[in-house]
Amino acid sequence: MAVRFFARYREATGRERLELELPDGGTVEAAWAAVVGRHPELARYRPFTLFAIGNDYVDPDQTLRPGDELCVFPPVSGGGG
Amino acid sequence: METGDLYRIVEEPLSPDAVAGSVGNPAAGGIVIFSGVVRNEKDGRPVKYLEYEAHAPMAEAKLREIGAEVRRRWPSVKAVAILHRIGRLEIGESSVLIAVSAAHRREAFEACHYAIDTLKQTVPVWKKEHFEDGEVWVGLQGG
Repeated sequence: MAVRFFARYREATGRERLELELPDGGTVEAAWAAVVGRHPELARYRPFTLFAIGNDYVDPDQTLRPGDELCVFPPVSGGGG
Repeated sequence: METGDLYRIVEEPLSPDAVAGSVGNPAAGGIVIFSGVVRNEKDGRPVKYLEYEAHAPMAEAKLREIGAEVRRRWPSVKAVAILHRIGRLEIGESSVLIAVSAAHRREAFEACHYAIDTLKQTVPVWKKEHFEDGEVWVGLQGG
């Protein structure tokens, strides 16, 4: 599976994507733990982090499927200046 | 998505005239347009410019969801347009434009207000403020 980083997280990790090998039945939370293993600098952001697959937000306990692309977002901040 | 609706993430400057035109409808009695613009300061600190980034496909899907919810809550709404610009924006430029046409003004105002408040909570867009002496991603303190 793949993880995509956006905004602050992309800059903090210096990358847009990370390929991960997770055991079958792994959850979003398990993927996050694997991400933090590679990029400990993200650990402190966990309470603020949003997860999405496709065009929808997903819960941390959701089970990932092979081929899923997990997006990890910092808090959104669109709108006016 | 209803005819006349428009939900886009764009890199080009936004035009209020164009979005007003896109929601025009003969059965509409009012069009409300909200334009969010780049302010020249943040908590008294001068801002040089802003940068916006989006997960564009998901952001457009979330904009469509907002439009669908607007139509569910305010059935007299005739058309909805929501556009968010990304990339570098200068002071005074518009980062988001929302236009709602409705049979009556109250629904148009309420729907437009709902749309911008919801956008700020749900749409995957991120803003970075550039100052004279640094830059900050908005949304987390102390980052």
